[in-house]
This record gives sequence, structure tokens and C-alpha cells, in this order.
Amino acid sequence: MAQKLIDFPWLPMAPDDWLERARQISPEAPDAGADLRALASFRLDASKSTALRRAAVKLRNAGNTLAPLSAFKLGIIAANTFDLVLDCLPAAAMRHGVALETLQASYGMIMQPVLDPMSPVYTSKLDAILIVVDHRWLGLDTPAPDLSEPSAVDGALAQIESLLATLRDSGGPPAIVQTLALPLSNLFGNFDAAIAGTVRSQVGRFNSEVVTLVAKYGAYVLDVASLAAQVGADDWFNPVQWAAYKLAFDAKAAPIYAEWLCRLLGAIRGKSAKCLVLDLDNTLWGGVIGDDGMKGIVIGQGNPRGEAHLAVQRVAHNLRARGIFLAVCSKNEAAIAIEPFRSHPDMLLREQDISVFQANWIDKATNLEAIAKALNIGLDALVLLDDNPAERAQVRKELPMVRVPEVPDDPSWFAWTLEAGGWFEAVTYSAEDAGRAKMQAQDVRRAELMAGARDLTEYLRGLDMTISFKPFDAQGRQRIVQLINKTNQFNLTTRRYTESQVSEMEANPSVLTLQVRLTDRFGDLGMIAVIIGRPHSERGAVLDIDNWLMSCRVLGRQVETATLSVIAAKAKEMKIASLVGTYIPTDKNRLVENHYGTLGFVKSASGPDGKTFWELDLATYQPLAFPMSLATD
Amino acid sequence: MTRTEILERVSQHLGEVLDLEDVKLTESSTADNFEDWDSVNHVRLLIRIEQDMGFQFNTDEVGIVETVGQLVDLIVAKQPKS
Repeated sequence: MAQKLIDFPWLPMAPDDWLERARQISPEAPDAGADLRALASFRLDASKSTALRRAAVKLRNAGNTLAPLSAFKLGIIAANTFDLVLDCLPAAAMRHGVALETLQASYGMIMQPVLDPMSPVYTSKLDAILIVVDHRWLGLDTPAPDLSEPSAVDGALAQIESLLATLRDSGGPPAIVQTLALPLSNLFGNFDAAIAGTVRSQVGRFNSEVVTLVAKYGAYVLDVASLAAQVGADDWFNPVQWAAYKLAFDAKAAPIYAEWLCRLLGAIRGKSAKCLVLDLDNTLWGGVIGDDGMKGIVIGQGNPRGEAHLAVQRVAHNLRARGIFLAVCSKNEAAIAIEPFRSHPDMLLREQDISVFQANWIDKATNLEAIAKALNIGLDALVLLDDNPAERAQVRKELPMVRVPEVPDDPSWFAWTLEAGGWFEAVTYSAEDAGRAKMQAQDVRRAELMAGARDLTEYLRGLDMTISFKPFDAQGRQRIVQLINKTNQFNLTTRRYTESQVSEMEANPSVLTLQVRLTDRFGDLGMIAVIIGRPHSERGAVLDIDNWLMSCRVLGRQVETATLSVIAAKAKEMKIASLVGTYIPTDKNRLVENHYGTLGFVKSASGPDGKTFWELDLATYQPLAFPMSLATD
Repeated sequence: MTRTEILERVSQHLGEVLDLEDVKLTESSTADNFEDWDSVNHVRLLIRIEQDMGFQFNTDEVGIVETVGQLVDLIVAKQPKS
């Protein structure tokens, strides 16, 4: 589905208990601001924005400072109705780390409060003052009387300059000045741009010159022109709401306007993110490097999916060039995951672009903590781009301060999301900033993980997983063959079988076969594991696990525990007394070298080639609990 | 939606706008019955109704609303004909 700024698609939908959580923030909580920020980081409608605004007022009245949010007092002088934006501002500010108080200095008056030294502009200790005027107030809504003369623009710029100069000379707060949204205007049509006095030319020149003017006075630009262009002028301007309510732009754009403004306030307060953390498989490239290999992953020109992922790399690359750290956080074997950065010809990102490289099988929250520590930045300075909704959910739950954008399934929207989310807003830029990320990345680092990975049971239960087991059958055959021949990482023996061999197994009652499927609250993950067990060639009543393989997408969800309990139950039905497992090492499956040991098997022998053999006595085996329900059919 | 259902929805929106619990409007209610129902809150109310019900009032309609009953009339007229 097409993504649109005014829908905030990068924010996750609010959970059902959102209102409950908003009500339950205690005035005594030392970090109530963190709770507010987490709640503000969901998609909010008018009711939710209002609820957060009122919650903040209540907390403040009870003496809570809203820490760790930074206080900001913003004065507003607006030519038109601004109340709908005011309603959205506190929640938008929380999202960007700011506890905002607003003071509307006047309605409809712009010059008077600035000229009056006793007005609230000067007496209320403002951190900044927002000047909300549009093309209409500045007299740029009609063509200049002499169409070839751009004098109206000069007049408009002079008005802004006089405001800025008065504020500066009277010791006022720094100003925030808007650029102008360009309304539909067609005096000559295509020729409008060539005539100095048309609305289009006037607004264009004002926008380019006001930026220089604002810089001269140490003020800030709120680039409404670019926002309105991105939203689209047809959605931005609403002639009925202008006539009836004096709304300078459509009410439905109020939340995104507030978001744009609060990104700026967050940047002024130093709350912008400093590091983009990237997942690898199906985020930075198409496919799974551990299974598909260097030749199998899709990246680069000439393939639509490859170009979509290349676009992600390009945004990341651009961010790094301006001083944003890049880090990798991926469930992968480190030596395999780094390979595309070193030698894939179509990769844009290279090893030296990545400041911290975390490819391992530990949960992502633990790795993100390590990345923040290695870069000496806060967790709230991290943005994680990850295609996997379950990983996103885990990080949001464990580390709500990390910004984790929602992304749609189609990777072509990933780059858009990185641009749209506005996490890396800046109000200054210097050559030093540009060099920062490069300095850090001179040697790619692996951050140390905190001892003891976190307890994920509660998170796993929250995924509402259902697992199902079936013997091989004709419907599943194609996917079974594909998994057997494609899976490299979670694959105990890497024994490959053809479709006809698999079909023979279906028909052989002495072979124990299982196809394993998993669903969770994000959807159907399909077939994720395959098991083949055969009667042991020498010993009776022993089942030899010929192969056990699983998709890495479901790693860390205790699917193995559930699977073993089913293998054991089926084996008992077959009058089996013990299970034997084999691990045959390859250069890709080190992940599972202790698979059987972890599940309670005892190592019985090792071969000269690194092969290990494991045994489980079913008489003493006690199935462990697993955080998912078992589907029975 | 019936008139009663519309009245309930409008009451709910007004309650949220004015931060009042249990607002129960009748057809004869007017803005004068509520201390905070000023012109700005009136805009907030109409915008919420527009966004909730998926239509837009016309320029002429906004000005003529004097009683809640008239507002309900307008909303009824905006309902898709079945």
C-alpha cells in the first residue's frame, strides 16, 4: 500500500491497552517522561494526542518534571487559527524527547507582541518563538501589481527581517520562521515561473531568500514548503476550512505539521538519533546470506528487488557521509555476514562504513545495548531498521526508547521510511560532524555483549505462536525439498535429498518425517522446519535423526524445544527407546554445533572430521515447557 | 445512523473536546449551555465530526448551526442515501 506522510506509517499502531497505560502513569514516577515518550511513539489520533496532552498537564501539576524529557517553552504568534496544531504539539514533542509548554502570545496579531517590550514574548522566558504567517499574510497570494517587478517579495522579506531584528535587539528568544507552502496558482500556466511577479515566482524567491535571512539572525527555519510539497498541495490547502475556520492548512495535516515542528525542537535540544542500526537479510539485501550465499542474495541494479535494497544502502550511505553512525545488528554468522561488505561487487556499503558490526545469534535488544555502549551514545539515539516484525516487537518491548520504524512488506518503501521518519534532524552542520562517523569506523568493531542474555519468555508468549506438525505429504513436498536443499545454517547434517527421495520417505512407514509450521500474531510464517528420522542401522529401538533443519527466521523462539517433544512422543509410539542425533560441521552451520547438547542429549562420540554424535534416553526424557500452543488436527 | 446515534456520537466528541465526562446533548442544546463551547472548540468539534464520519461541511453550512438539532439535521443530510 502506498505510504503517505500524513498517515505516520513509520509509527506502530497503538496497542489495545494504550489508554490504560496513559492513565496509569504515576505522578511519583521518576521517569514519567519516558513512559509518555513511549506512548507518543505510536500512531495517535486526536483523542490519543489529547489524552497525552492532558496527562502531561496532570503530571506537571502534581510536581512531576516529566524527566527525562527536556523542557521547552515555545511562544507562538500566529496569523490564523492555530489551535488544532496546539492540540497535537505536546504529544509530538514527547515523541522527540521534549516536554513542551506552549504560549500563544496573541491571536491574529504578529507585529504587536514583538514590538511591545512588556508582551509575553519577552516576559515569559521563552526558549523560542514560532512565527506562523503564510503567503496570504505576507501579501504574496496575489501577483505583484507590476508583474515584472518582484517588489512584493522584498516587502515580505523586510517584514520578516524587521521581526527578527526587533527580537534580537530587544533580547527576545530565537525565532522559528516558516517557509511558504505554494498554493495552486496558474496565471500564465507553465509560463508562471518565468515571470517575476507571479505567485509561484514570488513564493519561490521568498523561500530561497528567507533561509539566508534566518541564518543571519541565528533563527531556525521550519520548512513548511517542503512539508506541504511532500504532503501535496491539494491535500495541504483546503479552501473550505480556510473560509469557514481560518485554518491556513487542512486540519488533517495538523499532526504532521506538529511532528515537523517537534523534530526541530528535538534537534535544538540534542535529542536527534545518532546511529542507524541495520538488519541484513531482507533489509540491506534480498535473501538470506547464510542460506542463499553470495551468489544468491539480491542487491544492486538490474533487478527490482535488488534496486529497492540498494536504495536503502544509499540512504544509509548518505547519512554516514553527514556524520551518522552506521551499525549492523543481524542474526547471522559473523564471518558469513561480513562477506558481502568485503567482496560483493554490487554492495554500496562497505566494511569501513560500519562502526559496529554485530552478527550473532543473541537477541537484538542485547546487541543494541552493546552498540550504544560501544559508540558511547544513549539507546534513544539508535534507530533500528529491520524487516522482521517479530524482531521489531521484541526490541520495542525490551527497549522502548530505541526508535524502531514500522516498514511494509515491500522493500521499495524501506528507503522512503528512513527519509520520512525524521529521526536524524539537525539544526547545525560542520565538517567535524561529517568526519565523526569516519573516525569511529577506522576499525570495524564488535561490541561486547552483556553477560546473560535476557529472559524472553514473556515476549515469546506475547507472540501468540501456534506450532503444527505433520508427516511429509504431497502438498508440502515442494517446500520440504526446498528447505532441505537451501538451508545451510540451522542444518545439522546438510544432507540434501531430491524430490523423488522425499516422496519415497512419505510412503515409508518406518521413517519418521515431520514438516513444522508456525504462525504468530504478525501472520503465517509457513513451513519453518523439517525433521527426518530413520531406524538406526545397527541398533534396535533406536531412532537416528537423519536431519533436523530450521529456517533462521524463527531462531530463538524455542521451536526446537517444542519439536523435540513431538519427535519424542512420535518415537515412543513407534516403540523407540532412545534418539540418536548427528552433527556434521560445515563452514555455515556452526550455529547448531551444540544443538543436541542444549536440548539435553549426551555426547556419545566424536568423529575425526569434527562430526559429533548425541543420544537421548527417552525413558528419562522430560519434555520442557515451550511458549507456544500446539495445533492438533 | 439514526438521529439518536448521531446525538450520542456528537455528545461523545463534544465531551472529548471540552474534557467533560458524560455529555448528553439533546436536539435543543446550544453552545450557550456549555461554558467552554466557544468558537475555537466549535471548530474542533466540527473537524472531529468531519474526520470521524468521513465528510466535509460546506462553507455555508458551518455558519448556520445554532442548535444541536440543526447540527444533527446537517449530519443526517450528509449520510449516504440507502
